[in-house]
Amino acid sequence: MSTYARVPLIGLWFAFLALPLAGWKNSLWIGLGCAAVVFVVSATRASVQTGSLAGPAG
Amino acid sequence: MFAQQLVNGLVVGAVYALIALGYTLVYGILQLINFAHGEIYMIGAYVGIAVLTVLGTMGLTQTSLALSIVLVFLIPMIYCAAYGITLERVAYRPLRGAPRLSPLISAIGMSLFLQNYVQVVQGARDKAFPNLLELGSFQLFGAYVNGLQIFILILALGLMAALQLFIKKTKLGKAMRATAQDRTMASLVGVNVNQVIAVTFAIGSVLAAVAGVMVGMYYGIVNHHIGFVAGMKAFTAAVLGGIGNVTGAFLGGFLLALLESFWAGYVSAVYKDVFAFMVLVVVLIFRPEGILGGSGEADRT
Repeated sequence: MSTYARVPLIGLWFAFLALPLAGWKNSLWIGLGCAAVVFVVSATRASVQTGSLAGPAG
Repeated sequence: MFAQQLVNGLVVGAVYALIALGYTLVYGILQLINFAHGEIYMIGAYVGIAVLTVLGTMGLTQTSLALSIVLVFLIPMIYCAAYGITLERVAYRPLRGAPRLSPLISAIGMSLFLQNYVQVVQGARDKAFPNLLELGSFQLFGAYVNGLQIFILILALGLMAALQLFIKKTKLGKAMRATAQDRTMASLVGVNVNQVIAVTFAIGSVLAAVAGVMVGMYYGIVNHHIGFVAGMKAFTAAVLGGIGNVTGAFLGGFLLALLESFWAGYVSAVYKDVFAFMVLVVVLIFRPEGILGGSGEADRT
């Protein structure tokens, strides 16, 4: 499974973990936040690897 | 007085032993002190409160006490196992090849993070643990013993026996022992090391969850700091028994709690924490491998 496909699952997992402690509203935000972080990190990593975020050569 | 301190020590010892098992299991496999383990125990107690609140709202605590007791232990166990697995995946697995100091710092960071996370979402004040079991008390050799104390002792001893059986008799237990002996060799003979490590974290966290719920029931109050002190005491117990050794963790837990209880009863209750950590210092100076460390290799996880 690709990293991008896993992003919603990761969000759901963290929302599940937060549910009994933070309540359903906060746990949804926590899930969304975690999913967003994973998405941004994965996208940045992929961009750096393909060179689109790399600085000018030389 | 002696009998009363003995009973108190045994009950607290059961809790220390359950938490110490988590430290010792993880250390046996990864040679890592999981300092966030105390926080898993604290989360177990908080999830127990959440479950009891929901069950109370539904009226299940009045209609079906047995089911309520099962759920108040089962749900925190599931949640804490999930927390343990996530902790391993997020904080420790990426650092597996790193120098030994890196996962240790990561563990301390996760401990602080979880403590503050619970403080933010649950508030900094003490939380009352709803009273579920109303058991009477009786006198035994001059000591007052209540039903909850007996329940805690029986449950803890049962879990410890089950863990011993799991490690000694099951295929996964054998894989855990193989991974503890030599991780590379175990992976070469087909053991899924990542899975074994995740299961180890899950088992340790399940035991911590039970300890958390038991402490909540026993003292009736929970806060976000309980994991730190109990975690340090359980770590002391694990070192006392011989870290990495399952039987040593049982023994260390009970021994430390009994020493602490007698110290509190006969010398000073105020300095009982000081005494517990003094025991740690003395053990580290005179027998750093612990009581059972260095012997009973087959018992190591």
